[in-house]
Parts: sequence; structure tokens; C-alpha cells
Amino acid sequence: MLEDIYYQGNTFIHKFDARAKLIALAEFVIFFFFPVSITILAVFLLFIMIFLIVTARINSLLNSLKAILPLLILVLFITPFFNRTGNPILIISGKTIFSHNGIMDALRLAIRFTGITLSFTLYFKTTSMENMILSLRWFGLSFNLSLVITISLRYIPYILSVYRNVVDAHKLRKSYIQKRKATFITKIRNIRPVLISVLIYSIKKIPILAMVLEKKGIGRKNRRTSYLKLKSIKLAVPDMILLSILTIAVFSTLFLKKI
Amino acid sequence: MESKNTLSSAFKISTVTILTAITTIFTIAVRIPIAPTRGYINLGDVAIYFSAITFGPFSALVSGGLGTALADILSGYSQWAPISFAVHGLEGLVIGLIVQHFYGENSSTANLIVAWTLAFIAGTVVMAGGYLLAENFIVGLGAALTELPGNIIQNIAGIAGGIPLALAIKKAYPPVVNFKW
Repeated sequence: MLEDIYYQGNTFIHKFDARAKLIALAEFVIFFFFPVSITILAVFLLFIMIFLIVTARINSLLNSLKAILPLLILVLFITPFFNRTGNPILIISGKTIFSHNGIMDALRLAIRFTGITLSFTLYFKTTSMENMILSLRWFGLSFNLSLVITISLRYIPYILSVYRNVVDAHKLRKSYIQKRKATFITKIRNIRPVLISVLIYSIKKIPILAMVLEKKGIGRKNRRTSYLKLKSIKLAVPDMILLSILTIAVFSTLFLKKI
Repeated sequence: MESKNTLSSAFKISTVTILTAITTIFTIAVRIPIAPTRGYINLGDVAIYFSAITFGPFSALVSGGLGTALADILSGYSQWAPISFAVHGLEGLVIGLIVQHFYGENSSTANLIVAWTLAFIAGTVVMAGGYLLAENFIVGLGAALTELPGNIIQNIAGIAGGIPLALAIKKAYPPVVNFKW
């Protein structure tokens, strides 16, 4: 399931330290809220797009854009109506419909939303789940919570297959058919037995999983060791230097005169 | 069977783990088509209401937040994952705390109705309000307002599906009452 998210590669960004990448992601997101000119935001967005194409192929970029397209169109269409100050662009019966400021607001929001989306895509496409969780642990995520994430990712496909089996079983008995024309209440009523079966099946796994975890020493107080490790901080120094340069570059845009 | 107060941390971890997986699946896979818009509503909130009522506020906090965040990441909308984590986690916590406070084992039907009504109002305010606030900053007020009705419908589905499920599971699998913490 996760293979669809992470794009296996050997590029510079793939090898970049996961902790530094997480900080860079936060910086990128903050950057798109900066009160800088739209040109600067657009140039930055273009850089992210190029990085994404280089590291995870053009399909990753296109899929991300396709997913946000409806909301993006909505943003571009609706936002100008909320700000009609500035030079009028379209006037109907003496009323300003579109103004320069409204259009600029819409553009800024569209770039912001696209930028944040693509920054996240770049991060998830180039960071494996192990490194992601290890870096979160390095930043203070508890062992128990990281364990919850790791095990639930393994349980999702399993419970999903249980859900599909139950749906198929109910369909065979014609007790589960979701018609588009049926009322909402009927649809809920139809799906209820399926959900009850799946939930009981899953809940019964809780004591079994708990026993397995106890056998593995989960819950004991002694310090745990970890088989998987991030690269040592010494080896990550070049990445951290690069991150510092990036940070300076990002924050220096605040002092640039409007282009 | 273990009692509520003596649940080991391994048991708590496994409870939250399974609930997280359930929440993710209810969000990604279980969808009900809505005829007028030809869109879908997901049942992620059903899982959150169910978890909060059956397993308590803290299980719902973690599973609601993590489950919906994982669903966002797995379905290619990772940009919403931090917001979903915060909003749905808080939603689960608030619903769980209200139900726990107003609804005990010997509570009257009136208490039950009060608990569920307050849980629904608080859950809707936290979820729909939280998304409205976050989306306002990211996509602007106009686009954020268009998402508001969908989020409210999602919450109505959450309580309409979550409560019957919680009652049915309690009846069909009684040991589940000992899994609450």
C-alpha cells in the first residue's frame, strides 16, 4: 500500500537526511504564507515542481495536480468575489465584479495551496516510511505512538481484505446492495451489518495483538534498542549545512523588495 | 478478562492500533454515494464516534487523529494530514469526554440523549469549525465555506452510524466494555 506513496530512487533528495527534510518541509509550508510578491512564490513553486519531476517523475506531479484541480478551480473562481477593492477589471451595472486585488488574492491562494500540496508530495515521494518514523522519533515522538503507526500500517491491508470478504459474502446473500437511488437512511441501514461484522472481527484481534506485543517486551521499562537507525549526526552535517543555507534563502525573501 | 483499570500498555497500544486501522479503512474504503451531487461521503467520522463511545476519549484521540491522517496520506492528499490529525483527534477526544462525563452504566435515557446531543454539537463544532479555520488560511474563506456543508453532513453520518454501531457491538460482543480506558 505504501509503495504507491514512496517512489524508490537514488537521487540527492532521496539521500538527504530525513530530519533535515522534515524541517525543510515545515519551512516550505511556512514560506507559502509569507507576505512576499506572487512572482517570488511562483518561482519557488516552479523549483518544487522541477525537484518533483527529477526525483519522482512527471506522473507524481500530474497526479498531485489532478487531485487538487477541482478545489484549485473553486479557489480561482470564488476568491475574487470576496475582495473587490483596487482597480476594477469587470464592472456590470455599475457594480465591480472582479477587481485587481481580488484576482491577485485568488492567484496567491492558488499558488499557496499548490505549493503546500507539492511540498508534501515531494516529502512523501522521497522519504521511506521507516525514515519518516525514525525522524519523528528523533524529534520526540514516543516509541508507543510510532509503534501504533507502524503496526496499523500493516493491519490496514488485512482489515481491508476482511471488509471486502464480508461485503462479498453479504452480496452473495443479496443483503448488501448499494443503489444510487436508495435513500440515505436505506444506504446506512444496508451497510450496517457489514460494518458490525468487520468491527467484531477486528476487535477480537485486540487481545491477540496485545499478547504478541507483551511477548515482545512492549510495556517494559528498560531502554529499547532499535534495529533501524538514521544516519549519525556527524554524517548528516553536510545535509544540515545545506538546510541552513536553504533556511537563510527562504527567510531572506522577506527582505526582498517587491518584484 | 482484564478490568478497565489494569489494562496493560501493550493492550492499550493494540486497541489504538486496531482502531487506527479501522478509522483509516472507514475513511478510504467505506463510502456511501450521494445521489444529488454524484459524490461520496466517507465513514471516517462513524469510526471516530464509535471509538469515542466504545473505547473512551484517549483511544479516540489517537485513533481518530492518526487514522484520518493515514487515510489522507494513503489516498494522495497528504497536505491535509496534519490538519486531519489535529481536527479529528480533537473531535474524538471531545466526543469521548462528553460521553464519559454524561453517560455512565446506570444512566437514565435522558442522560443518554443529553450526552449524544452534546457530543454531536461539540463534534460538529470541532470538526467543521476546525476545517473551516484551517482551510480559510490555505484556500481562502470562499472555498472553505463550500466545504462546510459536506463536513456537517459527514458529522451527521458519524453520529447516525456511530451510535447504532456502538450499541450493536456492545450487544454482540459484550467483553468490549472492558476495553475502554
